[in-house]
Amino acid sequence: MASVDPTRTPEDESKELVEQEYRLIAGQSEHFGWECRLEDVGDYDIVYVKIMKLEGRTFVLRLECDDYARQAPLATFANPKGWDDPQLKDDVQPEFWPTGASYLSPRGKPHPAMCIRGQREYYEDNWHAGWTNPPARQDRIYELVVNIRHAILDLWA
Amino acid sequence: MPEQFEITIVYGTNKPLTVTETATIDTVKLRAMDEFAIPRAEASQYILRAKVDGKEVQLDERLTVEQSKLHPHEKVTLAAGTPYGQR
Repeated sequence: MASVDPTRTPEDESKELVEQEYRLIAGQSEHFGWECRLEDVGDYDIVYVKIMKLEGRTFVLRLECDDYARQAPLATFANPKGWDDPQLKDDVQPEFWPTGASYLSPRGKPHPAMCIRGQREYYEDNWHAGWTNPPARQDRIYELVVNIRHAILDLWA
Repeated sequence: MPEQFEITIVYGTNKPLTVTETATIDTVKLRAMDEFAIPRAEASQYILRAKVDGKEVQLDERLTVEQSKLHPHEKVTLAAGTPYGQR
């Protein structure tokens, strides 16, 4: 019979799930040409992925994974200068978001909301249904990062 | 006999897949999905991407491996084809 560790908290379990996904992301850094970092902020993890568009902008995708997988990660874009300057790593401004006509919607926010599954805003206010715990294969964090990368490469500037 | 060689399918982890030059990309995708235990019924939700002539593109499923210019040991990404919402 499996024993239950009484010292393990829901936050520990959440971080373990995020760290499993992070290992997949980190393992494909060379293939996808991205850089990534994981930050443990106590109760949850934040995943940062630097995605460079060839001959274009550099984006730092910031995934706040509080209460994962009960809810999807909050995906934002942080100041690319924060990759080298820790004081700016959580500087999230609309100007750091990608631009484009496809699958980016204002949704009454200062930044465009990404119409891509697997991130919190996609499901907010019943914009779309479908988030489950555990997440469907297509909604896991690794897939989200791959899908956002492809949108940046193919659709966005 | 058409030439056979091994490519690497990337879907979180990497898995080798032996392909023939005459196989269509559609067939390669289905076999790649099998490797990762993704039901074939979900085939329309997935695509293959690879670097062709130095540029990363979605592979045309009607073309063959040879026509797609895939080469031995090439890494081919299995990814969602429709991760976007409908509204």
